[in-house]
Amino acid sequence: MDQDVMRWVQRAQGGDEAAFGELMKHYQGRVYGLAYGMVRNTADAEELTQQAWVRAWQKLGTFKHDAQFFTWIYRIASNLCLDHLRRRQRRPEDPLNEALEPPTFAELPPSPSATVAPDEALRQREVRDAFDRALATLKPEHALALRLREVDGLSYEEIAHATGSRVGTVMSRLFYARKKLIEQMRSDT
Amino acid sequence: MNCRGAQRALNLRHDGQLMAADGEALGAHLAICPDCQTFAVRMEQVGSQLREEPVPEGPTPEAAWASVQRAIRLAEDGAARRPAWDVGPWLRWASAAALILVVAGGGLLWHGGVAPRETAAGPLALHATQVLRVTTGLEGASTMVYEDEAAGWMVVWVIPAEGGNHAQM
Ligand SMILES: [Zn+2]
Repeated sequence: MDQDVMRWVQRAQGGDEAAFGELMKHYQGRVYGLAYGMVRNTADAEELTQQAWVRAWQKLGTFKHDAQFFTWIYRIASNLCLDHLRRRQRRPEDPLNEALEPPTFAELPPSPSATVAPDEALRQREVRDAFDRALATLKPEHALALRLREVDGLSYEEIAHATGSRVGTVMSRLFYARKKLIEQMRSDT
Repeated sequence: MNCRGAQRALNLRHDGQLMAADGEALGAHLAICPDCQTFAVRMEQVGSQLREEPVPEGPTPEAAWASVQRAIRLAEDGAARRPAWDVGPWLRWASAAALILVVAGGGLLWHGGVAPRETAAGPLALHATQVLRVTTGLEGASTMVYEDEAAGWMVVWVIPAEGGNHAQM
């Protein structure tokens, strides 16, 4: 698959839009997942994902082949998400906690909790809500590093590349993000 | 190793980055510290909560690609249509201000739905959401100047009698 990605990138850099389409379709789910995880809103996540791919097409000439394409597109998407969150935090009429509301049941795909006893499903839902609230208190840069590590399984070096920071900064962000979440979980239970 | 050092070591261990020697010291601390044992368990829970977090289904890759293609076209069309004299926001504002002065100096007639507000700066002081429609010296043409709040752009329309041509600054 890496070979395919390299071929698509090379062809897309030569102006082949169909090859860029293959690239986009290959990474679309991961980029959308990252955007949704950051902004917690399907419409904004779709919009930001689209913006990321348009920007990627426009800046494709600057992509160097010694880097990995997915950390490059992650960097574009991450920057857009962070900008979006900063703008949202600056808007007083749009409170952060409203914007960070977890999705409604209707928005969510069927999960294992749908097949367990109602009491257990409720408990799982409460744990998840508490976790979402705790997550919303993290600095966006810290939440981003944590997500890239835990959900996407990126190495410290890959996170550093995807976020434009140093490895030491990544380690520090991961530590403080986890510590804060653990402390919040303690106070919630 | 104290609790703070143990928590940092746990962070590294969780990511598979802890040196063997530090691992021994961490093990010794964990054996005697219930707080750090709990911290270790919670750290695993944080990871699994994040990984198990449900993500609502997004558009299919094909639908997403179709939208991206449309957006790319739109961006390219916009770039191609941008006039050569589009020289950045400051000059856009300066040009718009100059146009207003020219229009004001010409003593032209107002018409249309929105009347200008009289202010100390004169009858043509522009407000962010105010729409001004004035006739120009050009036969059969009129000009409309306003700020597009969403885009933050100063927009100048030159409308011929038949309507149609316009320039956006
Ligand atoms: Zn301890």
